[in-house]
Amino acid sequence: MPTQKVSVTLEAAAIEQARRHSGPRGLSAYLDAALHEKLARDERRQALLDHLDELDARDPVSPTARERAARRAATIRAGAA
Amino acid sequence: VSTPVVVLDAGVIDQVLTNPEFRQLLRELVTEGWDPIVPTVVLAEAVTGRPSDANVNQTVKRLGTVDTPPAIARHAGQLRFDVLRSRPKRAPRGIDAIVAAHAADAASGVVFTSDPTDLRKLLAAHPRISVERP
Repeated sequence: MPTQKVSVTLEAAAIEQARRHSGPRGLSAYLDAALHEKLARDERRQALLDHLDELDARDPVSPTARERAARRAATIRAGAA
Repeated sequence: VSTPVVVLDAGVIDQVLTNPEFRQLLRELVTEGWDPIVPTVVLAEAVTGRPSDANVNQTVKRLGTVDTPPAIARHAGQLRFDVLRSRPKRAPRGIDAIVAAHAADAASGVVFTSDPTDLRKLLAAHPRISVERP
């Protein structure tokens, strides 16, 4: 895979922590892996949202069910905080 | 800070297609940045190899699955052993333990499952992860 040198600004404390964790493969490999993980997460999220859009277009959620789902989501979010 | 996860267990994948309220609940969480994952191992219980798999296949094809690295598999073993030490009537299955470990790896989130009992035991030490039916 071709690589490219870039200049970015990152939080100093996080960079120091990353250096400690990066091991023999170095900081670039560590940040590259983190970037790939983040990209995979974003792609998964977008794929699910696109899928939900298509399904909802055929079988929409009722206003009542939408309110129930919003209340449940709020409870779940509070539990994760 | 880890991203919270939305873990889908075997028995709920087909409900993405059949249950609009569940879809809305997923949308609420994923829109806020929560990470939706289907651990690859749950396919062993979600798929039969018959035409009735169509609903599961459709969602899995779009969302993909997440493989289990050794560290998460080892954590699954620890979570399962912690439950076994309390001598439960029924031992949690290895697949449930792997599902639980994927959630535990993220530190916060929700596991959607059709059978919450064992997953709640497995995640008892992880108060920021809830276990819910769809």
